[in-house]
Amino acid sequence: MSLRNKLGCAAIGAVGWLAAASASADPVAYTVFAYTDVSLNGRLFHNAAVTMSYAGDTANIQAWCATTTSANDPNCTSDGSFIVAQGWKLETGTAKVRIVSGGHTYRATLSSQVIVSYDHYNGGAGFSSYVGSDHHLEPAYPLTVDGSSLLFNAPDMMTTGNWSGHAWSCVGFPPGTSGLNTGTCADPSVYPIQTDAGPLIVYQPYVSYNPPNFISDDYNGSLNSGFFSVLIGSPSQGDE
Amino acid sequence: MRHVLRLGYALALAGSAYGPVHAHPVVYSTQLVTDGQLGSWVFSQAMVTIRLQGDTGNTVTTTQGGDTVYVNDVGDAEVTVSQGGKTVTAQLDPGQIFARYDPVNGSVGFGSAVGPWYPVVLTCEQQSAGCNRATLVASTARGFSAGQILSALVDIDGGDSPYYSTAVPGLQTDLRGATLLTGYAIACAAYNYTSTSCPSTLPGPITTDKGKLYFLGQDYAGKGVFTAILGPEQDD
Repeated sequence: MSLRNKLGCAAIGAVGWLAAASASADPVAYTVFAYTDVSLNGRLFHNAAVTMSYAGDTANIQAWCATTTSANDPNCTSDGSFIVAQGWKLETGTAKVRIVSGGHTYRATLSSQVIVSYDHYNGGAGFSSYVGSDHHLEPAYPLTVDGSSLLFNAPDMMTTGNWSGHAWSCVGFPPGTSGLNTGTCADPSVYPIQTDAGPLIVYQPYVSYNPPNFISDDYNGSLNSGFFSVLIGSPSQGDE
Repeated sequence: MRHVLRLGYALALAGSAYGPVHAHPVVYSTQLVTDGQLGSWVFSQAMVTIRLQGDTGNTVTTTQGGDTVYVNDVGDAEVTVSQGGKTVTAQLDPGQIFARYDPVNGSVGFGSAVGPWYPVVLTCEQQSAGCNRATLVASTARGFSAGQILSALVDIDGGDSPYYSTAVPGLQTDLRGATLLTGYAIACAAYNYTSTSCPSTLPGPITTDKGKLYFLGQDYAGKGVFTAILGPEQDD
């Protein structure tokens, strides 16, 4: 597998963060909020208030690492390869979406393809998903946040707090041409997220380019902003 | 209930124009992560939402410092603060804040008697007053794009539309229509960019039904979102 798990580059990397899942077991709720365009069961909502939430347990948080030779190398072994992304993920839990648009609220439970991930190495966190016939991981789809306070205040997935950054819903992340990538995000309708209310598609309408149409950067390439929150000890679904 | 609010903040009214024939209910809202105090509760890096519910018919086009600015100071305002599982919503007393958008300098948010950029301003540069147009934008082929919507709109106004997706220009507003704006969030009455901190001295309070409200945002690089949504909000 290629560098799909790369969420951008920053120079952090510490082997100590490769510790296995937390020995403690606490309820945890993750939330990402942004205004963006979404489609639920074929109905398009423009600039809707989108809140994704995930309820799980810290005991199931797993370390992960992507290197130049492996997209899934939890031990991050440096056998001649270089770390390109590193952090934690939670794949056991319940993901939900809340869409507010036109004075109405729409809710759906997302399928287990959606997970929560945090790339401490590059400063990005949020809702990733396994998509396609090859079940590959899209790190920045359906909705994630990177850069800004998330990057400079590097939390983990077990610290309660709120952070802001650039909101991304990008299939094919990272797109930034500065990293010699494609410069584009693929059409998200190719990979709808399955929910109990029909397929969910999240779009990326506000981007900056290196003309003519190459997304300029893995952070500032998204003009939209979003928020990532962690709440340890939450007994419920957070905002849901 | 509609409140007619006239603050002590001096507006240089020149050629002011009121809303279009078709006014519309509107909710102006800002979301950001910041620090402050509400009553006795001191919060740090809390998720904060400020809302002003009013009518676009009360939007005023005015001139400040030679630049066109849009202001709406009529409506009911509230603030919601969430931190560590605790959420408090407070209703602001009448006349506390007004929505303000400066498209020339790329600055939007809520002003008050303390100043045009307090309690919260989103800016296209990490300065309360907004972009330095002469050096940052308003020139074609400058070679790079902006990283948030506020600065992108200023840049587009200067001729750099090829640097942005086609959906971006449609976000330009006069506070009489729906919009989504993003920028650097500053929630401090007198942010110190040398020490990169907000002074601990409390500014004039914003009064609410939950006590006095202060913002002491220590961060100048965090992101925020401003929206204008037409129509009544639905309680759910």
